[in-house]
Amino acid sequence: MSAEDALVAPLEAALNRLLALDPEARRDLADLQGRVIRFDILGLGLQLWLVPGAQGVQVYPRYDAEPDCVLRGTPLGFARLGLGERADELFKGAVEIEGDTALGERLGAILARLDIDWEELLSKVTGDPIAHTLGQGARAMRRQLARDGDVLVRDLSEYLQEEARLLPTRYEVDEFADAVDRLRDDAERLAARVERLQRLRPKPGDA
Amino acid sequence: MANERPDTTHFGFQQVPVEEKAERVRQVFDSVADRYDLMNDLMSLGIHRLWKRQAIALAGVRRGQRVLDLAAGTGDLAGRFAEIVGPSGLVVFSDINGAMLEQGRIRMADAGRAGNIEYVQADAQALPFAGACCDCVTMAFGLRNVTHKERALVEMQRVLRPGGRALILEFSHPLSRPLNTLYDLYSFNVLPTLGRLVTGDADSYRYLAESIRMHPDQETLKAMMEAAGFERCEYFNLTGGIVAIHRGWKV
Ligand SMILES: C[S@@+](CC[C@H](N)C(=O)[O-])C[C@H]1O[C@@H](n2cnc3c(N)ncnc32)[C@H](O)[C@@H]1O
Repeated sequence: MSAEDALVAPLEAALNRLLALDPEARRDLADLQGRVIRFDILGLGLQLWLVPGAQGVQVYPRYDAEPDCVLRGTPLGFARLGLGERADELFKGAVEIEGDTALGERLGAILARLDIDWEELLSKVTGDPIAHTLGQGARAMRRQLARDGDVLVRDLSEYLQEEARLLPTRYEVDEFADAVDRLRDDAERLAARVERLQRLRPKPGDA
Repeated sequence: MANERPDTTHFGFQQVPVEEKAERVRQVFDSVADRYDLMNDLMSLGIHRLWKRQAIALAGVRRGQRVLDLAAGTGDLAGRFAEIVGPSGLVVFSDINGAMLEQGRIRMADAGRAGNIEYVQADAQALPFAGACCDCVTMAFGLRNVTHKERALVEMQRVLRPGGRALILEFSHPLSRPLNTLYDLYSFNVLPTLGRLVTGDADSYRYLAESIRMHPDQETLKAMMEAAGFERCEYFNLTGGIVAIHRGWKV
């Protein structure tokens, strides 16, 4: 899935709001100014390009340059960055770095300190239902949307779902979840019945 | 352009002598310079920001590079470029119009962008720069105001280093008929009214709408870039072709 620019722009704004609160992180980030870093977010098949600057970061769904470094991981892997664990340890496991490793680790360390709610951030890009399947991001996102009055994003994810049909709608995801629940219930009932029948069946050697 | 008499050019739909067009274009931007940002947001419903982001992404500029932003106006592109190229790079913020340039300078300073931006008042048709001096040349919503577009394209090609690229973000021709009709309705009726309410100047925005209609379509502009010496020319339609980004390389 290629992230839509209209959804990445608010993500950029959210990251920069976090950075605005942290002058130290902003200073460290300025050292990486103009380097091109690509995030491959596994599981979502999502790519985000990040270009640090003196005042914040720029984030794009595509950026037409060779990346200096690629960070690859699942949303959970990136989320672990925020747990305050040491970045270099993390990278060995959860997040893979390709290219300029030192650059990747420095960026990782800065992001780790920022205490980013990755799930919430990513939910801005993927829209509500996918975030829902990642955790309980959906409700948080809805609240966030209401708070920010970020109507544009909501309209756009609606557009992507209803018009362009690029994303499953919330209804479709709920339907699917219900179907899975029903299947599970059915399977459990069936198992109970098999067990009961087995108990009723005369054991070999009885009779 | 083929439909022009040699000594006249189009000012919107009216044919006017060449020098007079330059003067009128200047008047248009003089008269709207200070409300220009607000008007930009209103008239494109904020989408112009996304169009500009796409242009930046397609430019793919990185640390240390030199970027020339022509018709930079209020500097939406130049500001982002300055953040990317950093202190080891340079952004030349250029516009033919002193009032727009001054607005841009103030805006860049307010945003704390300084150190790697130079301001140069220049006509895109005759650039006061040496050849092969920059890695990327951009022009957002400027080319349609230029009298001799071929000259501007040749100049853009000249100042590029081999391996450099030029990007032109400009209104273009919507791909579908219904969109076209709707768009005409919007630009010839809604736009001048908005212009009158916001800047007190409906004529300037009527001119904008007309100049958009007169601007060469996607394929024509691509051919013009090829004629100016650009290689690997391509264009990207945005918002159904209401806007297009043309990109060409110097090899
Ligand atoms: C619509 S504004 C675009 C501003 C900015 N690039 C943006 O996208 O927001 C057009 C600008 O083109 C400038 N312009 C018009 N004719 C020009 C020329 N021949 N050479 C350079 N700039 C020109 C005007 O002064 C004006 O600032």
